[in-house]
Amino acid sequence: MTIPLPKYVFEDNLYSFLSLLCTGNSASDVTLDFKAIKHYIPAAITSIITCIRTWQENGIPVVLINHQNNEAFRYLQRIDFFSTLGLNYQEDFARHAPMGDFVTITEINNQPERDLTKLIDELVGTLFPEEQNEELYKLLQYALGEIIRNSIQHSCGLAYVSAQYNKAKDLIRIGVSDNGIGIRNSFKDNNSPHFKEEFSDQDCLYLALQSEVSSKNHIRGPYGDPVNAGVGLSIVHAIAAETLGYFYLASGDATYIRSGNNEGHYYPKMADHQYKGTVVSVAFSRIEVYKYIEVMMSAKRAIGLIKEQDTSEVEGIFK
Amino acid sequence: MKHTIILKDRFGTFLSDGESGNEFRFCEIEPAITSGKEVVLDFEGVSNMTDSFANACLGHLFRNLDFQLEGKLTLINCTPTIRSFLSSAWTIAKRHALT
Repeated sequence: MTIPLPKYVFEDNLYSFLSLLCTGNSASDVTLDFKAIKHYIPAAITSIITCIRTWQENGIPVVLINHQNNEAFRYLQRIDFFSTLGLNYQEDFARHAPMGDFVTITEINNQPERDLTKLIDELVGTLFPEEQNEELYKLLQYALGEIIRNSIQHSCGLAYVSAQYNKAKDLIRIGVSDNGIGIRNSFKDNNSPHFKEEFSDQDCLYLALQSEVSSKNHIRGPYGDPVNAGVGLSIVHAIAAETLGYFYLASGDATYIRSGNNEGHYYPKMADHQYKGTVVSVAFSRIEVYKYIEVMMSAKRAIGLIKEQDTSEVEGIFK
Repeated sequence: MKHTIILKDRFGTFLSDGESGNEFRFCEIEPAITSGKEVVLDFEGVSNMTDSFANACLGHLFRNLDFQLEGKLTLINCTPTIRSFLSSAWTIAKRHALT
């Protein structure tokens, strides 16, 4: 089957875009037509890669067409889209370190801890050097740290990250896609006490967004206490709202989106929409990140993690 | 006897990995306290952390010490950012201890 990729993918059509990609899951072969492609947010690009990986793992042959004669070709080259897929085309531009508008696609699994921390710093430093905007640097460091490690801890699959800064909209976008077991299976396979067999993908997305709920926060592990407190994703979700950005989460047949500080909502289920793995797309409005720690505290208060009086209670522990 | 650990030397300026934090607490901090040492965690040069690290390392530590740090654990050179993460970890750990 041929899947004609659309011209644009932003948060508001990411759901229909993933539905379109998911039609390839039941095909005998897939041809991706890049002819119309012009501008995609990072999660859309990383999701193409994870879908291709899934199809290949399932023995579905994949062919790309018109991928070298579209408006986004050089951009896709610059962000290492093709090389990530093992396709190395000659570049007719001088490659220089990306500064300020995008970071290249990176596979995040199987990175040693020290390399992962370095990777996060490199990703953030490429978008916004620390000396340029310390508050924003820290916020992006935090968000990437939580989202990337969340994917590594739970996905059991291949995961990719990319990021962009859109100057016109003043939005910083981070996309992480994996082709792993998905959120519902993470709760199920880890025998989470939060999980019930009758829970749908949407029920499990709801659980994943609750603070202090994780598919693994009951597992004590080798060091006595659970690693996972189940707060990272819910705080990132709240930060996106605090900064009037976007938060998008998709897994299996369920999709959640929140725009600014409006109420989030789930998309209705569609017959063919079965994304294998998880997609997280987060956007922060740069101008709203005036003071990192104030944004963090507001986000934590918004999800009930802390209360106004909590901070003074522990002052005595600091020397 | 005091046992000072400079966190920047161990984890860099951004403390982000909860698993490393959990291991560090279990394998280094708690055994040192159990052996009678006062552990001093020096946050000099640490500019940021995740809540995953704060909860896995410090939150569990606070709870395992029954929130009585006197003579056992001292936290020094914490910036306001680091203080806010440790405060959150304390609050969450305390809530868990009560439930």
